[in-house]
Amino acid sequence: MESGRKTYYRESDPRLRSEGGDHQPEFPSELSLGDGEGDSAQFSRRGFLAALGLSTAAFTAACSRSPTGHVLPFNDKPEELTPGVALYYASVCGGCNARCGLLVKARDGRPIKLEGNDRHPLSKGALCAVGQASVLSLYDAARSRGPSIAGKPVGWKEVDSQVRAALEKAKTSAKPVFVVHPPDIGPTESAALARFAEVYTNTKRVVFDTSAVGLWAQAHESTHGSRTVPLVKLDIAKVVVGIEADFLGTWLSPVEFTKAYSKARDPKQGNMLVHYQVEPKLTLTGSNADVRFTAKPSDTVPLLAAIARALSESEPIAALKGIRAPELPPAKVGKIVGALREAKGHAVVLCGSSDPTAQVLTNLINQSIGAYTSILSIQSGTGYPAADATMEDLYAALGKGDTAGVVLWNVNPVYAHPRGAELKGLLAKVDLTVCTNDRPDETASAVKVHAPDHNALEGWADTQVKAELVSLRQPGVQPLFETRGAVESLLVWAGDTVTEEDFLRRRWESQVFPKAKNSPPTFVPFWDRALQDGFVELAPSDSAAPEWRPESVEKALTAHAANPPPQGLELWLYEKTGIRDGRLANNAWLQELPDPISKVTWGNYAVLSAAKATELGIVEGDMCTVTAHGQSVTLPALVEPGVHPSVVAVALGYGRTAAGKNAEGKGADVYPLARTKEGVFRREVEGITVAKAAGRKDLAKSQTHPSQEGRDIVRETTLAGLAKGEVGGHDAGHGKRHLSMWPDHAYTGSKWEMRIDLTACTGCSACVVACQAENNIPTVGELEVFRRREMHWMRIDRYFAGSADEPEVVHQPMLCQHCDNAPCETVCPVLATVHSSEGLNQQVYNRCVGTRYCANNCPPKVRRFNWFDYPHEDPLERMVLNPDVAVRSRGVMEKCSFCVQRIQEGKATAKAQGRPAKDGDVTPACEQSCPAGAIVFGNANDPESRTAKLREDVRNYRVLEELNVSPAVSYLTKVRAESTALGHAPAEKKHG
Amino acid sequence: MAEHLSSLRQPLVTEERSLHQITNEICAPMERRPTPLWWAGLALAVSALVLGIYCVTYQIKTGVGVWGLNKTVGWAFDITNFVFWVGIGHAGTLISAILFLFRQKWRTSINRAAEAMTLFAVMCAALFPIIHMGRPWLGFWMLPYPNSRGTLWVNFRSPLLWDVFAISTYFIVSAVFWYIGLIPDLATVRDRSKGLGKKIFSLMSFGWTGSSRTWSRYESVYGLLAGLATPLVVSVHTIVSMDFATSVIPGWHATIFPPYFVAGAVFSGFAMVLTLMIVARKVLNIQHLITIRHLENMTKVILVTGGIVGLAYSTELFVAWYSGNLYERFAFRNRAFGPYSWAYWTMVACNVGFPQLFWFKKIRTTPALIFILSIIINIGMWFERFVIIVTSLHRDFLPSSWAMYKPTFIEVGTFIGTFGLFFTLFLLFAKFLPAVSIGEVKSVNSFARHRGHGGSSHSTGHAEGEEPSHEEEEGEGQPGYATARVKAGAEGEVAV
Repeated sequence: MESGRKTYYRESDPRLRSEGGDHQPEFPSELSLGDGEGDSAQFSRRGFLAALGLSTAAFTAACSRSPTGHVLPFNDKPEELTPGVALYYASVCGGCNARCGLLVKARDGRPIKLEGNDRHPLSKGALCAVGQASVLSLYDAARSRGPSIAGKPVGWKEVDSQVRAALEKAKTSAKPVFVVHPPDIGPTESAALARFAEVYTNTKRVVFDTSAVGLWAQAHESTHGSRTVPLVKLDIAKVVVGIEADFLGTWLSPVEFTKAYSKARDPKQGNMLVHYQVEPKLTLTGSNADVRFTAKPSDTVPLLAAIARALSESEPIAALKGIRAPELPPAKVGKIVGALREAKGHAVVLCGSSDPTAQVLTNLINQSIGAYTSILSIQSGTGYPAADATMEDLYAALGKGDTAGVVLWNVNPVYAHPRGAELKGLLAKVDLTVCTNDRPDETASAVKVHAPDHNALEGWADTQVKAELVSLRQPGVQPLFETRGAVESLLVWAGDTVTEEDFLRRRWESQVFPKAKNSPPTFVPFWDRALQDGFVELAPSDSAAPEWRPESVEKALTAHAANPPPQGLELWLYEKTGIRDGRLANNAWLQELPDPISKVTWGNYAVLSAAKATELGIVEGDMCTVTAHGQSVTLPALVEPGVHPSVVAVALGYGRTAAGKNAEGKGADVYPLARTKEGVFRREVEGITVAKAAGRKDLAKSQTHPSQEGRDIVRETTLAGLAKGEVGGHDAGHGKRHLSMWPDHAYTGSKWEMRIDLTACTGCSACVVACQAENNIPTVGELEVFRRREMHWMRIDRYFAGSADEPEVVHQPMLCQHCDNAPCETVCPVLATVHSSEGLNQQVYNRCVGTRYCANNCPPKVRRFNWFDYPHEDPLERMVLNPDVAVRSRGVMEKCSFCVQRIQEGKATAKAQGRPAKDGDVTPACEQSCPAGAIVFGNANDPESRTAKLREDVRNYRVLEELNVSPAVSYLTKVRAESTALGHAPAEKKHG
Repeated sequence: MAEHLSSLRQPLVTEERSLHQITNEICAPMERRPTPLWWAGLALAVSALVLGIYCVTYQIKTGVGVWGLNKTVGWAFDITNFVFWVGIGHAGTLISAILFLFRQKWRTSINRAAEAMTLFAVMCAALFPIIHMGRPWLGFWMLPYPNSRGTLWVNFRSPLLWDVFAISTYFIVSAVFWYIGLIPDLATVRDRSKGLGKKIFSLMSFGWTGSSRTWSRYESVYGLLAGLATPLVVSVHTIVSMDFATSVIPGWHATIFPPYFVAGAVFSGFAMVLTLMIVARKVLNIQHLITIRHLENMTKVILVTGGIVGLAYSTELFVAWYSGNLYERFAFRNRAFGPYSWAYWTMVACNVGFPQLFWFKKIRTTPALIFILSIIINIGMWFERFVIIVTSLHRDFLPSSWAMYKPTFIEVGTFIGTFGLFFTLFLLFAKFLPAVSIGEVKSVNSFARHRGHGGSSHSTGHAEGEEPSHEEEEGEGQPGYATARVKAGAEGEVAV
């Protein structure tokens, strides 16, 4: 303001200003930098600069720079490594005994994902949930960092000198050194062990087997003179009868069986493999059976005997007479017999019982229906090495103090043996106890020398999957810790200084290479090809098929006393699809994998039938005490359909006490309830009691409502119905378009769609874990799952129908349906979920503010919200993260992206090759892993694609079609070979 | 009652009061020290507010996971509370705008407090859309502002965005309307206060002189704003209802929602006004200004809107049955007989059953009973929103995803906290601002009696040594003016 003059009014409009008395610049500067007198600015130029300097200094002093990270190129880049491009190594899965072929996907030197090896003759590119999850166990923080003696970390030299000294000392004494190993060690491992036994002649091999796998081999030893588990060609079978055998879930080789099973049950062929199942508790396999009966475990031998009797009517087997009639009604037995008889030569019985007599009877039936000349092949089977001693012998020797040493090679008997607690005390008295387990678990913490083996993804090994197929395991990463291959350890202790790799390679040169089929003339290209393929096929041996030995039945049956049917409750110990025998119990992905039947995560429970639960006054979640031969375990109860009223079923593998934070305290250890008989681990226990105990525990279930409520969600029909054009569902004219508020999307390029064949899908949940591994999906823990906040993008919905005694089960993989008229897209206020030009419903994590309206408005409820920060805290476990997928922060919605990173990769690959993307270029993680081939993904705009062809299939339908959301995911009606004997109409005909 | 008053028209100010007395009475709570009762109320309210602040802070620090929501039920207490508070916020503007336009004179003594209640309720409501977000610090992304993120914009198809506009518009217009109405009274207070108070009130009253010209302008502005606010009464809850109605979820996806929600909002809003007024008239000792007749009128509004709500409930049930839609039918069967049926029947009893008691004059005119019933209606209306939100979500299309919802301590604490905020603000309002519109109440005073006893009032006023303010001038200096205004108002020429 100028002094001396009174300003009355100043017009703000510059056009009017000229009429005013005083001259004003056209654009008056708010902040003048001049020094002139009368300037309205308070600051002088100097003052301004001083203030500027001060404030800048203050600002910079108050803020700290964000930490600087440096991206450095490789000083010496490995030839094959391109940053950002994944490398795949063919290898062998270490998840279970099935040893499927796999490809290790490594990014920048670290394995991040396991994929099935599509060239592998048995698993054919598929992998199960356990295999998918096993990559996480590589980065398990609970693994041992190196060898230790009496709990103190030491160097390998120290270990070797101590062990060798002890072994030398033991050699001079007359006492034996026991080597306890799992039943499925490979040829190279066997060779190393043989070498060890050659040096230390007092070595005794003990096989520790809690599965019934070795038992079937043992039965074949007696019935056919060959200690072999035969190759099961399920794909050519017409009838399969599973008795206590969860062959699609846990028994023997589930991936291989599922592959063959879904092939044999493709309704397009016009006929389907008919599946009968008899089991005490509903298993994954039983849930897929066409005809399913429940029976007590003690009924297995009588049932098999009855079947055998009925099949051998013409020439009765005397020994079978002594066995009582089964409790299963004759009509049901007759149905099974009829089916087997009718499909003679195309039928097979698979028995998972741990009773050796049952296995012999199974062989008898398979022999009488001609399975050994068609479906089962002993020559092509898997040989199992015989042991020098049983676990009982080991216990006896330990008890007598007649043991110089015990080497526990990747076995955990302190946990998994019914008398494990006893073993812990016995081991303490032995001079030399060595354990090669990967972590200080129950057994490894009970021994003196802990010499940890590599993880399956770090070491070399081979495995004779079948007589004519050897798989080669190569490392996907340098060992993360100071571990050493168990083979190398044994050899070093035997005095050979040779690495695991060299030993294996040398053995392959001398043993495998000469026998290989179609091998190159020299070893090196053969070896390279083996490394590339991950397996080698051997020339078939020309040995004659082993002869049937009828006398073996008599021998087996005389051992089986003609017991009267046992009274009271029976315990059936089973394995859950994820945790199995508890080996990978610290794997959070497996712990959080919902059981395909119960949908319970993070623990085990006593499964009771509704009738028994009512009788005992128990409801779901009540604690109950299961007592068998003086051992008691208290755990929560779960009431489930399809359980025999006299059976209590409990899953093994839980209640670990030393395996890591994810395993400890989860569930109860029921191994003490099992028993061993004649060296055989028995899962069926008679004469148990169950009583209600104090307290309750809420089971963390991912699905709580069992029924479809008559809704048109899973469509079902039978093969006969399909032939008549019945495809289930409410409306025949599906696919008709309703009016929509919004204009349709024009998909000029690709349109990504997915088909899921509900006939093929067994509910095995491999896709669930594959998706979790691929997309960095966090696990949330038991409490959060109980609060219904699990994060799985892909889930398997399971619905029961029919009666509680004879339930029919359907499994339906459910994921983001990528609707064309997506309800989620219209309601997001910030456009964080949008539609792509290729039909993908995309979630933009950065833009999401977390109103959750999209999740509310999602009809199939597939959206998952980050309720908290689910941090990937552990730097080791963080290494499993897929760098192609963003890790989501809290407050953000997420969901299936159709593996958009794989779509982009597939398109880029095609583009680099100068061609349009074709069917098969893009395989999302779920499809890649699916052993049943139930999931088909592709560009529906490409008329040659499988998705486009399947869209025209008569069985094709979309869930919630009537909402007109127009999903990109469609399903193919589930076809059953036949409806159960006590079944109901194939499709629920209720109309709303 | 003076015999020369119409026997048909009950007086709105039931006791004989001079204009100055009215000023004194309404200003009294502002000019005396707070009573122990006020302090106790404030302590209670602030405690609840502190609990709420704790819960919200903890939630924002930790994640929405501290609430009991899950993958199936993505909204529960948060949006229930939001709709509940927005609904309560309805009565204020309805009373001040619609009743004003309809020349319902009885609104004069309650409109100020009802409008304040509206503002505070909308503040409580606005809290929830912000804190219910997974990342509330990014809440500003809901606003369509030019930004440096390229083409990134808001989604105008989303009802949540409409909400942002509806609520903010409603709040701004209500606040302006309320404040404009306050200006003459603020000037009165200014003229009566000294020191700092005088300065503050001078500033707040925008130099109000009380001249005829000011009044005339004031009245046209007030009338215009009333016209502007009127559609908002309908629009806000219509749009809130569209949060649900435009979805695909059975139980939400219904065309009846807009009128149903508006009626429900008026219903709950009047219940809340009653709850507050019954206490306030007693505590502030203004039973003669907020009379039984006021209360009775409001119960009549409740009876009507409650009837609409009841009709809406039965229409929903009928349509669910008549539609033949499996999911719709199930949704309503599940509401009535499912695991949350207790909430449904609480809602029906509170909103349809109990309000029928208002058919009895005896109950309509007994403040204690009205108070109890108003609380019941508030509970019922909260449950209505809970039932709509939770029972529709927890069991929708695929039974595999069906889940139960259970609130956590944090959610309940946050809800209690909003009551703390509401009552804290209301108590401060009652202490620091004229809770009843002085100017407007004067216009409905019974001047027939006043003429007979005007002299005493005059002498009293001057005996107290007050400077004559504009009302004094109206009432005493220019006795004809206010009377003229009242007459004019009755003739519909000047809007007061």
